[in-house]
Formats: sequence, C-alpha cells, structure tokens
Amino acid sequence: MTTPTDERVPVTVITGFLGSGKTTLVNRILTEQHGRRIAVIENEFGEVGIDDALVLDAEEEIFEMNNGCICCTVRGDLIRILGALMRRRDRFDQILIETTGLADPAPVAQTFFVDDEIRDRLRLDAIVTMVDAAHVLEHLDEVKPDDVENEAVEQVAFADRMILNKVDLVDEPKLTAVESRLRSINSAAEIVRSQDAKVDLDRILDVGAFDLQRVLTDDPAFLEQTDHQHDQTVTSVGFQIDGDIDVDKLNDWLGELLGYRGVDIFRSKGILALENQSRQYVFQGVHMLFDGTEGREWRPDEPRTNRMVFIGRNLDRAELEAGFRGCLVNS
Amino acid sequence: MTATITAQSIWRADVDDAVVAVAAARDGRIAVVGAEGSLTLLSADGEVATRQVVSPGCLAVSWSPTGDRVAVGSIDGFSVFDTEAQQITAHRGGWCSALAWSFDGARLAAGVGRSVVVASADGTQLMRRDRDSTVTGVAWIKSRVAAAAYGGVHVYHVSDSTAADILPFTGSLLALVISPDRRWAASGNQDATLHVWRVGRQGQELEMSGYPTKITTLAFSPDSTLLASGGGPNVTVWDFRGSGPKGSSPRVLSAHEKVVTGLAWSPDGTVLASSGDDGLVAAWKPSAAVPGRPVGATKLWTDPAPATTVTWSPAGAVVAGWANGVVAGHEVRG
Repeated sequence: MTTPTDERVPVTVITGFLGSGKTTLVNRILTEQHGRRIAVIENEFGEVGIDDALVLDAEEEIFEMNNGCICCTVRGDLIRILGALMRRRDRFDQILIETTGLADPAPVAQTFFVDDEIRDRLRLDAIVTMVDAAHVLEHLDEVKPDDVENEAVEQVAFADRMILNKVDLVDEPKLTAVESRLRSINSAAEIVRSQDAKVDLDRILDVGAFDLQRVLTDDPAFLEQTDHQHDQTVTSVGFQIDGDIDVDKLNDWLGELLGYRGVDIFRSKGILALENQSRQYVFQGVHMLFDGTEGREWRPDEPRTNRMVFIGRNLDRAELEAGFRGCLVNS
Repeated sequence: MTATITAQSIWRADVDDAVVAVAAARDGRIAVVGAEGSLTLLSADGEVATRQVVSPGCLAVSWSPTGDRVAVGSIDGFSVFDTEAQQITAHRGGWCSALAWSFDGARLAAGVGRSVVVASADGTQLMRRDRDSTVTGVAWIKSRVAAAAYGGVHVYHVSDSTAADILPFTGSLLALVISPDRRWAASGNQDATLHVWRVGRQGQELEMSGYPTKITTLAFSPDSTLLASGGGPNVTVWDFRGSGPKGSSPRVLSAHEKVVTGLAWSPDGTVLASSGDDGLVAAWKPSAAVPGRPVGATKLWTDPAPATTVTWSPAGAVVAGWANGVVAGHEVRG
C-alpha cells in the first residue's frame, strides 16, 4: 500500500534468470502508453530509445558497508547513479532497476536502507522476479556447493511479485506444480501469469511493495503452513495477531532477532498497529536492515490486526510468533 | 580578529540545467556543468558566452591552472574543451566524477570507471591504471597521482610502472583531498567517517567519526592548517597544525538545515564558503571560531532549490550553483 504522505519516487527492481523475459518486460514498460515518466537503470544498454524515458547503464559494483558483514553489502554503482538521477530537474514517476540474471537481490535492496540520500528521496516499491515457467524448477533444484547460494531461490525469496512468464510453453498441471513450488519458498508474493511478459503494469509498478493484507486474507493456508524446521529449505512464515505493539519492545526484539538470524532471514515485512498510532506502520527488512513508514489510517470498524511475514532459511514459526507476541503492549 | 563578513551580489545567471559543479578560471571566467549534460561558459561578470549539451549527465568540471582548458567529467567519461568550448578530446569508458589538473596545467588526471587515467592537455593518454572498483577521487602529490576507490588510496608515478603506494582503508571512499603542503591525505567515506593518512608515513592514520551521514565534500585551507568537511548539515573543520587533529575538538559551522553539498576556501584562506541542500550559501571565518562551539555564518544567498556547489574566483568572488539552474556571484570581503 502506498503511504499517503510518502512522496518518494517508487523504485521497482526486476530480477530473474537469463531468458526469463526481463528485457522483454522492461521494453514493454518503456513502450507501453502508461503516462508515467520512467528512468531505467540496466546492466547492458538496451536498444530502446524512448522520448519519455531515460536509460542509464550500470556496472554491478558490490561493496560491504560494515567491515565485512555480508548482510550489509550494497551496490555502490546504484548509490552513484541514483544520486545523479535525483540531481536532475526532471522528476520521474518511476525508476526501474534491471539486474543481471545471476544477481543476488540483497545488495540491491539493502542499498535503499543504508544510504540516507537515497532513503530520503526514493522508496523501494517492489522486487519483481521474472520466472520462466518452463525452466524455473531446474534452476530451483540445482544443487550448489555448500557455501554458494542458489540465485534462483534467492530471487524467488526476495520477490514482492512473481511473474510466471512463458505460460504458453507448459501445460496446466506443470504450471500448478511450479506455482506451488514458488509459494513454498515465498508465500507472501503474488504470482502473476504472463505470456511474452504481457502484464498489467498496474500490478507491478507503484504497487506499494507488498500487500500483506491480501496475502494473509486470501491465503489462510499460509498462516497454518507446516514448518520446515532445521532444514536449509527457504520458506515463509506468516502470522496475524490482534493487539497494539509497544515500539520499544518491537525494536529490541527485531534488533536482536535480525542481529543473530539476519543471515538466514532474507526478508521480513509487516503491517503493524503501534500503540497510540492512528495510522498503520508498514515495516520491511532485508537481512539485518529494517525500516518502517506510516501507512494508511486504521478504519474505525477495523480490528487492529498485526500482520507479519518472514522469508528465509531455518525459520521456526513458534519462536518467531512467541517473540512477536512478546512485543504486544499487554504481554 | 573580527568575524564580520560583508557580501554583495554582483551577478546572477541561468544555465537551464540543474547545476552540478562550477569552476573558475584564472581570468575569472566560469564553467558550469549540469545534471542533464550541459556545459556553460560564463564571462567573469556572469554573461553566458556559450552553452551546449556535452554528455548524458555531467558530474565534475575543472579549469586548467593555465586557463586555456576546461575538463568535464560525466557519467560516461570525460572531455576536454578549449576556452571557446570547442571539444579537444573525449575519453569514454565509465563514470567520471573526479578530475584534477597538475599544478603546471600540462596533465589531467581523471577517474574513468574503475581506472585512473592521466592525459596531456591535448588528450594524449599518458597513464592508465586499474582499480577493483570505481575511482571516486583523484589528486596530485607533486608529480604523482593519488586515486581513491573502495579499499583506499593508491598513489602512482605517471611515467613508470613501479608499484603504487597504498593508503589503505576498508570502506567506500567518496571524496579525496591532499593538503597543499602534501603532508596529509584525507578521504570522506560512505560510512560517515573521515579517514586521514600522513603521506609517506605508512601506518600513521587517523579516523574522525561522529558525522550523521556520508561525507561527500572536503576542502583544505590554502595554508594546510584547516580541513573543512561536510557529512550532514554542519561544516566540521579540523585543525591540522602539528601532529594533526587526533583528540581535538573541531570548529563547527551550524548554518545549514540540510546536508552540506560544497565547500571552498577563499584564495587567501580567511573565509570558507559552503553550499547546502537547503538552498543556502554561507560564508564564515573558521579562524575566528572556537573549537567545540558551533557558530553561525553570514548568509550570502538562499534559493528555494538545493545549492549544489560553491567555488571562489581568483578575484575573491564566491560563485555558487543551484539545482534550478541559477548560478550567482558574490563579492565577499572578510
């Protein structure tokens, strides 16, 4: 959901394996009549030159912020390019960042948390992961050496939206199986089916990061999902709990949790009812870094229900839920 | 010593681009570059002489000390122009936010992507060395070139391929200065610290922290005694006399409400000018300030748009630029 007071420019990050249709999607966004003025940052210069769009080239440059902590790697090239973009007089309605097929989404996302200039003016709206319906299972199942991440799993885990592309190339049972597999990793992200990357752009641009309300309302199974405790599988844990949250307790708990579990917790997201606040608090974290903004007003007839999602490895639902309950004002 | 500064507006121009950097030539002419790629040359009294779009987006500009060349850094490389804004040479190949002419004006050092390049004034490439990440600062130490990138500053001889002297720092460097007396090198960093090395004395390093945000602008006074730094809304000035600022309290200028974007000392070193995201350009006398006690400043000009850069002309005028295309000159007497 978009914070009414948030005037920061939304940034959409498009990830996905080579051949999944990222470039087709970006070109579609650039050429479609949507009335938005868009700046695109991509790793290879595309062929498309469009009047209303600015296309900039980036060369992936990852560095560590805090002396070697892998959870605080950021993209130095993006800090520079986004900084230069913000100095222009023309205001963009939307910025797109297209990553390379093998890119780890974490440094891209973390860039929006650690640089003040960027955080003040830009908002990470959504990570959109393109998935090739015909080949994604092979990529997800690929066995990597112990210390190497499976990039396909990471890209799915980090997604706020997944575009299941090339649906014309596989039959319905296979599609259902692929969707089920994607949801087992990341049940918080909506899956949009497409052919030739034809997607309603309103479902991927300026969507307000994640609509937890929808996910947690429409998919109650998510809330009772069986746990995969103590295995290396990447899964999601979500819960909704009524009651007001004590901000200090929340900060202490999240600080500690993400401090020692931040490597395994890829993403955390929440829409929370903070004590004495009439507006929702929209929270999101990437590994150890987290941030929050005010959301919309709670409606008078609406229960003050906190919704929280964690995506990562070795997630222990009972531990997470107990920890969160400890942040309630009356706990 | 009096802290009084008087300022008088002498001209104002519009370059029709968000000003990114300004530079003043020896004869007082001004070069202005913009975020949308323009290069504008102004006469010493602020009249637009030439204006053209030279790149997809400019990042830096520098007049040669001889005044007959102006170098422009952009998101895709650098170009060198003559005084009529005719392009003499162009070097494409990556991000160029760092430019430095040698003291005799015969050589230009530039960061281009992950390389540091030295070219002659006519564009002939004299040296190229590669780093692992983008070069974000260049400076001369006599005839050697210092280049800042993630991991520290490397100092190269231009004419031979001997190994670089390395001034190490684990982090992302955003700005580099060398004191005019060549005793000190300092970097402003992404992690909101100022790192200082004694040039030629391996291991003698200082780190100053406490800044609220990353440090993107640094300026040494002409006599090398004071280093002014941005990194948040305050201007922090460290005293480098003797063994340096370790353990000392800095002088603090608290005039800006938003992040400081540019710093420049008057040619005689008495007045420091600063530009800020709040649109203000301010001037003060650091030598009259007391360490540890913030002071205000003479406010020269405020514009609704962010003030993005400031410099001094050799004649003693403060020249500043704003994101709305305004460039203004002020005669300042300290």
